[in-house]
Amino acid sequence: MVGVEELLEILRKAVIDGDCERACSVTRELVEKGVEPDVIVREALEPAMRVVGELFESEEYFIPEVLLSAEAFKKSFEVVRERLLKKSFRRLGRIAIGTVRGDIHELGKNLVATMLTVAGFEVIDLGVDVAPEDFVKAVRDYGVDAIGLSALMTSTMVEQRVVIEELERRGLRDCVKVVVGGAVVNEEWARSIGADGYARDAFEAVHVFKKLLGVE
Amino acid sequence: MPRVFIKPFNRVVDIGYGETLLDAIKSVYPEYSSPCGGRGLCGKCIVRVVEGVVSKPTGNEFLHNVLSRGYRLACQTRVYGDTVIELDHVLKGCVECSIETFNQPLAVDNPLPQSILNGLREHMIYYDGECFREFSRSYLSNIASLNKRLYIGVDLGTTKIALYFYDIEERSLVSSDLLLNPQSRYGDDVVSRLTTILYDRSVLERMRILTIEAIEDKVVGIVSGSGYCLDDIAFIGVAGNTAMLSIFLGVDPTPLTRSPYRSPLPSSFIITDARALCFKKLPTRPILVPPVFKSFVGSDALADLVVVSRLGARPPYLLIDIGTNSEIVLVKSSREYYVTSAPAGPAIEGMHLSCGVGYSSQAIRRLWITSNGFKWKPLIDKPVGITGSGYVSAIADFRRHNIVSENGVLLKWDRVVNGSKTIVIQEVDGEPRIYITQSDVREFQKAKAAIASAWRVLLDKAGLGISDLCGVYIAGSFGSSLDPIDLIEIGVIPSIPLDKVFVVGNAVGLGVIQLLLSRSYRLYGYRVVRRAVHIELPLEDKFSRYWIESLKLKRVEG
Repeated sequence: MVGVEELLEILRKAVIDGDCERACSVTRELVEKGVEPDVIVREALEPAMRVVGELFESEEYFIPEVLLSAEAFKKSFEVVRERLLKKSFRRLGRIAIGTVRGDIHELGKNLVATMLTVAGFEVIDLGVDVAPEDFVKAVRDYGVDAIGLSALMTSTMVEQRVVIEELERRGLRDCVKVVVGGAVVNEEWARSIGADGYARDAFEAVHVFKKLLGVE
Repeated sequence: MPRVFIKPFNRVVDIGYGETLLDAIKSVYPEYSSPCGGRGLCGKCIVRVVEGVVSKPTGNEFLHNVLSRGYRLACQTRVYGDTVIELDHVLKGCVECSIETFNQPLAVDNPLPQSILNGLREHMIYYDGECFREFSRSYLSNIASLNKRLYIGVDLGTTKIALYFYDIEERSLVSSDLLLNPQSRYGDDVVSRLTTILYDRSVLERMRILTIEAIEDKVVGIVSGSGYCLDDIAFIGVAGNTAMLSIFLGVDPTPLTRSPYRSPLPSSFIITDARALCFKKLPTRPILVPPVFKSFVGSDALADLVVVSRLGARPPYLLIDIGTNSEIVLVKSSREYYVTSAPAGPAIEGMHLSCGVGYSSQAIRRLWITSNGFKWKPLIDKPVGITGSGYVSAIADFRRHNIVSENGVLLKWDRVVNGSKTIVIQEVDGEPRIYITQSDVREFQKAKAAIASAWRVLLDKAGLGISDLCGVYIAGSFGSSLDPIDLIEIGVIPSIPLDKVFVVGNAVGLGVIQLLLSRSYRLYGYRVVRRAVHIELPLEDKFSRYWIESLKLKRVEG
């Protein structure tokens, strides 16, 4: 008979290794044993993703490994989510994310969306080539706490500023935090256009959003 | 006005109050590399400030960890008073020039301009320096280029410009040379340059004139240096990616800067002349710009294809022109063509990596492991760095010896530098001089994934598998120092029998000359461009998945 502690350890390892099937089956086993869902999340899933983040930071993991781990996390989380919802589990916040107008690159944006979801945010993915009005609409209609603007080309990063100006024009700037990112973007640019934050990669994005929304 | 004193060259530059050190350096060394265009992102423009009044360090400088080593980033450092700086990694890239070993003689039938004057004008459009007009042969009749012998093919690349000179009477290539594209002071990659134009339209004409002057100076030098005179020039052909050609012609290239990345050039043969483009030293001679495909895929891909088809390639075959912006063409049959461009980024040419140099006769072009340590070619005691092909061969051999895993993790390393595992290739006085880091491998993986995912999407589109391919042709600057087996080992190209892989090298310049010399090839080129299906990779469903899968350093079998 395998103990709960041992199962939690197996689940942590499964998520770190990106082993989807194993993560799911172990999660089910834990639930059947009556382990509280928030214990599973707190004791296994979240620490596992922290390790994944560290492995990425130390260059041990690269994008494919991170995606596999994220997938295992998501699948395991689906198993416990229903029970969590019953206990009014609170998401960290609602974030709308998209690639700016004129730019159709989605790889980086999708990676950030995945990691934010995994971290516990509710993510609304607006897609690519998103017009400033659509970001504004998301802020106005979906009550998002923050938006993430991705731009992969030096020629389109100026659109990040356009979105911020549009929010100001509609008097919505103060309702929402704005984080920018993308291969060509840097801290200085983020400051110069009046963004609230800049993130270099998906893990940093999670960190920046958490900090800005005060949920760290 | 503050004054900047540059050591060890003892150059003095006066610059405006608050301008950056990069502005100062570029004003005397325009070829000085600033890959990110001076945005503080790449960390390459390191300088030592010996004394002076300069701005406080920015976040980017902390990020790149240059301050602790006593350096500043030139692009981030503003000058407020007289300042002395020291450049110690000096203008590494010296230009390598080569005449390709092209055994097949070029075909000559109805060369330009005769064919036009004989009434054969195939799908041409005239450009007068401002507008495109319907072509009329009267444009050529007053240009004394008939019965001249020298044909010049220009490969107008983003990083470098290659010139080829062909004597139609001798029926041979008489000279070739290479120069750096002077536009690099406005950014290293195409999009950075286009963005500069987006913000300031007047830059377009400045870039254009810079390019024209650089080409013309080189042409004048070579023509006179090889026993010809300028009057011998018959025709000039220019091929390049769509952005480079738009800038060369002075056509607004900014539609390329945002989705749907529309080409501003017509897909016809463009005829213009030296006078219309404001060449000052060259006699009035006609200039041919072969048709571009769509979006960024320009006439360089067509010129490559002309050479490959001249070599007798049998469809279905893949043509991969490896470069910062790689072009990939899949020829399924003589009627079906699929083209795309893959932004591999400068890492594929060795740039932006720790010891990467774009090209240099003093750099490692091939690296492998023996029982006595590392060996490299060419045999140089103190190489200045590693080129793109050097990285390909090194990473492939690391993979063979299980020094790097399929996922790209370094499994053995000598030391940790700036938090990155590092394999030391050459050490001088206990300090690593030439080395490869974990981050280099990561950057390289991203670059190769861009190329591999592109041909995988094209194969899918055409309904072909790897085993269907009769050939893979590798064009671009990698050249003869590259062993195709290394490209296969880490999956840059599909795994097919080696007798089906051909390295053609820099084929663009020759392809252009072939187009000047042969009407059949011009008709072929026009047909290809018309029939080609252009694929915009980010819009393809499977692209993301293929890109992620292609990060792996492994063979891709059929």
